[in-house]
Amino acid sequence: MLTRTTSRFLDLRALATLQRLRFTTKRRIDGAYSGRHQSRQLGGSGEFVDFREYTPGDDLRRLDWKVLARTGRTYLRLYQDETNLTCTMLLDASGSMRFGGEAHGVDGVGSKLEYAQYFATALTHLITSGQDQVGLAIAAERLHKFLPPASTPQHVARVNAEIERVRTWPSTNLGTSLRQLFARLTRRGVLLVISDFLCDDLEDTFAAVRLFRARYWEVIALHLVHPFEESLPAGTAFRFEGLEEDGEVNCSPAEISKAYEERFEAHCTAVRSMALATGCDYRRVSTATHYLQTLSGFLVERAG
Amino acid sequence: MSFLHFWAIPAGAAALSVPFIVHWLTKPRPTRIPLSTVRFVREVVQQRRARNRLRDLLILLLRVAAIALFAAVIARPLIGSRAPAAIGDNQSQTVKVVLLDVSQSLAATSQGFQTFERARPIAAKQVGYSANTQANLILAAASPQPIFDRPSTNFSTLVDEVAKAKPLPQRLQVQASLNAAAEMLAHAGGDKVRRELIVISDFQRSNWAAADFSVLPTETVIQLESIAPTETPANLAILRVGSQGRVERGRAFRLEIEVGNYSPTPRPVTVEVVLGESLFRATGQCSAGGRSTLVTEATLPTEGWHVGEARLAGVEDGLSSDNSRPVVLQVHPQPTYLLLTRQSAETRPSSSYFLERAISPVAAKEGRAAEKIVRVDPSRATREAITEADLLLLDHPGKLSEETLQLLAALLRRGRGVLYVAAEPIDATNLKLLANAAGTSLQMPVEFAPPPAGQVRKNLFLANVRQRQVPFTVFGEEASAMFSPVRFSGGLSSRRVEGTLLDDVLATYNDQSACLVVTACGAGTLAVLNAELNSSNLPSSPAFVPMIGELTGHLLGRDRSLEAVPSGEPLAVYLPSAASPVSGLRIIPPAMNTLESGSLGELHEENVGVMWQAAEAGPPGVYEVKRATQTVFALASAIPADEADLATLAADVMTDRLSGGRDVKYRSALRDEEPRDDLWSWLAVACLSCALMEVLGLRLFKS
Repeated sequence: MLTRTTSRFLDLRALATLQRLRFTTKRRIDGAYSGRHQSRQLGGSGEFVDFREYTPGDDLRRLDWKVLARTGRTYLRLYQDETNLTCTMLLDASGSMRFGGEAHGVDGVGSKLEYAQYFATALTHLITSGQDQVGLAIAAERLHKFLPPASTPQHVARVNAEIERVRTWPSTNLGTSLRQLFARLTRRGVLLVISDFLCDDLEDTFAAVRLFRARYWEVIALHLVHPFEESLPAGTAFRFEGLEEDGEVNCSPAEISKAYEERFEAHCTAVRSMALATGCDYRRVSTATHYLQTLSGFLVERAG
Repeated sequence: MSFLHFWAIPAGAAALSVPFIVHWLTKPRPTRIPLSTVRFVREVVQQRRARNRLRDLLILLLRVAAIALFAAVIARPLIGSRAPAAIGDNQSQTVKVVLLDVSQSLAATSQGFQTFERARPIAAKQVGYSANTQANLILAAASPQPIFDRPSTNFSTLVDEVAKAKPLPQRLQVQASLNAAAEMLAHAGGDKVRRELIVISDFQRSNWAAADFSVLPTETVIQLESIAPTETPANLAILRVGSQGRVERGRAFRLEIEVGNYSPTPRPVTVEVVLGESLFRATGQCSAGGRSTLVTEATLPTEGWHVGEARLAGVEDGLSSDNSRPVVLQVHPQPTYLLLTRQSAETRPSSSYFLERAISPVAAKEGRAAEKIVRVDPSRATREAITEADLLLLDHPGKLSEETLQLLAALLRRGRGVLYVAAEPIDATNLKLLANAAGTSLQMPVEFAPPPAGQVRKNLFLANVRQRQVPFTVFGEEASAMFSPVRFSGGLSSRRVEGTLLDDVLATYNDQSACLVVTACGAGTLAVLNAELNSSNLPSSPAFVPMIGELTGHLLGRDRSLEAVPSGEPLAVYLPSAASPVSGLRIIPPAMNTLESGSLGELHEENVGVMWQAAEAGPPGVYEVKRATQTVFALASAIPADEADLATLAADVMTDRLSGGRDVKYRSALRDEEPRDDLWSWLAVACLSCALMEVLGLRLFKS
């Protein structure tokens, strides 16, 4: 049984500065166990929040006897239940995520996949350290790996190990992968999609996202962008090789750089627009920014 | 089109591959880079592919065009008139004949330069040294003057001759010069020799319009170098000076001066004619582009030869040498008429009587003697009597002896006038024998014959009269009215002779037979009046005396020997009979003449008199033939009138119509003074433009 929580992507000393931050959500959630997060259930314990008039069938144990005695009217006392958070991370393992591997970026973070691995490992650590559950899905042209949310040390070790072992596949179909993931998830929670969204059919991808949203999942789209993707390198002529079986293109970057930048920005804008239209929480992340800085900002923003 | 440096064309064609090679060599070797967003790059590239292809095509075309144009600049294309500049580039054995026009028109000045000075450097260049070439120079004027008998390699002599050449006061006999050049080229070298004829001239229209290059060997390359100024210089010239009719001592005569105005505007001119000590002045307006005749009345008091000069006063024009012209006039004593007739003087009325009275209608009066008419029977007429008469009248002469006919023919050829009144059948025989004796000199337009038997010629009237010719000019428009009541009888039938001048028949009867025929014969004139005057009412008509007066005046005045002979052309004139014998005669040239005595020609005795013969007439001036100190004959040599018109022939006429199927190229030396072969500079501009457009295109396409 794997119980070790060490990973080459896990830097506990660096994460120590983020220990006080928690991965939270503003929405009430469904959890399996009690925890620190507001539950969708209003139960009989916890913090008092309100009164409600009794209706037949209500649990008589929650009846406020004192009010009944004083006023002769029947009211129930309502308390906010607290539960734990279930977060499922979907990691895009398509070929495009491998981009940047040769050119090591900030602080040695090279490819988008590597960045995602650091980020996911750190986030896993933070989520599980708050007694919340974390699950992992590896997606490419289909769902390659799925670990249901859990919070046991063994599970965390497996998640970290899977994150560490992840490799890329030459094609992407996020829509299919999300649908397969949707079929295998039984409980509502938070879905964190870490991807560059460089797929053939964005409409299909966000159609699948809408399935989650229809079930009141909170979906967070983490859009990874490598700085070398935002603009083409300077030079006379390049033969660009695709990372997902999309061939080669010879061109002179100087001739098309502006048009390319416009096209890439249009893509990013389209992803953002679709994400927001679907009700997702969208965040564009440049791999030029340190993942801890990104994570810190991400958590602070969510904490409100 | 031809090229100065033809080698540049294949070199340029080879260089056209340079853009492709450059494109291949500079084609970027792409760096392989993995990229996650290849799909975006592909989309953008596909969007710009059409634009890039257009750019590549444009740039390639501009580069190819720039190289092609650069090659063309180096090759120096020669189009149209400049094309012949390539002549002489051929390295094969070449025979070159340079025909240099030295006629008087090249002495014309334009913009301060004599036209001939433009010809000299071109000629010197053409006869300069050239490898594998033999050359000769022909100085072309009235007669061609080749420097060598055949093309030679003695180029230095040819260059010296060009340096010494100058315009001569002669006209250009084009065909004679071309014939000389053709003979020289035909006999030079073998079949494989390249033959070139270079003609340097102003291509004066009056000379070159009848040129025919077909006499040259077929393969001859003909290059015409025009040195004519771009604008024809305005020129005024005295073309002819003469008298209207016979000049007699103390009798007023009309001095005619023909002036040519070869300019686009009418010009008022004054001509001063100096004859001995007399000065006459004629003034008038000369119409533009034509000839005008100025007339002034003059009287010369003494008999003999009067020589002098006519000159235009106060004229500055293109050609100054034709502003003056030598003049010769012979002042005759009162004319002597010899009437050869068998009719008696006492027989009145008779045909000869009417003729005699018409010639001398009035008696002698003070200051003017009556005309001297000697009536002689032809059988008793002596040779001296016939020879001494100024005008011979024949009326009912009967059959003339062969000796008399030969003498009449000889006198006719020498300029004597003869009036023959043909009335009898024998006159037809006399006229026929006279025509035979005169030979080809006399081409009568009709042949007279006795009227057919049974046909009576009477009550004939004039059906056709040439009102604008002597003697009918005196009647003006009234000529037909004057002669309409006149009825003629007698005379001879006539038959038209083909190939003769119909204009010589001045009046025709209603039966289509000739009434009056005036035909030139050598220097003299024969007039035939076909009528029996005695049976016609013509003598009683008021038109008779004026008509006979005009006719005899015309016959007396026709003295061709007084007309100026063209300078430089063959000379052959009969001296007056009074000049015989030849011994003791000498030719005196003009004072300014520098010719050797042998060049003046020779005088030799012939059966009809003394003939002056010379291979070419001397320079302009008056040449006198003297016996001791007495002038027996004078002759003016002058610049031919053709040379005064400086208009040039169009280039296409030379190269097309006159070429005779030869390869004729035309080039104007004046255009060469302008920027030469400027086509190459335009090609260079186009080449640079292509290069600039390429740079602009690259910037435009942001490449």
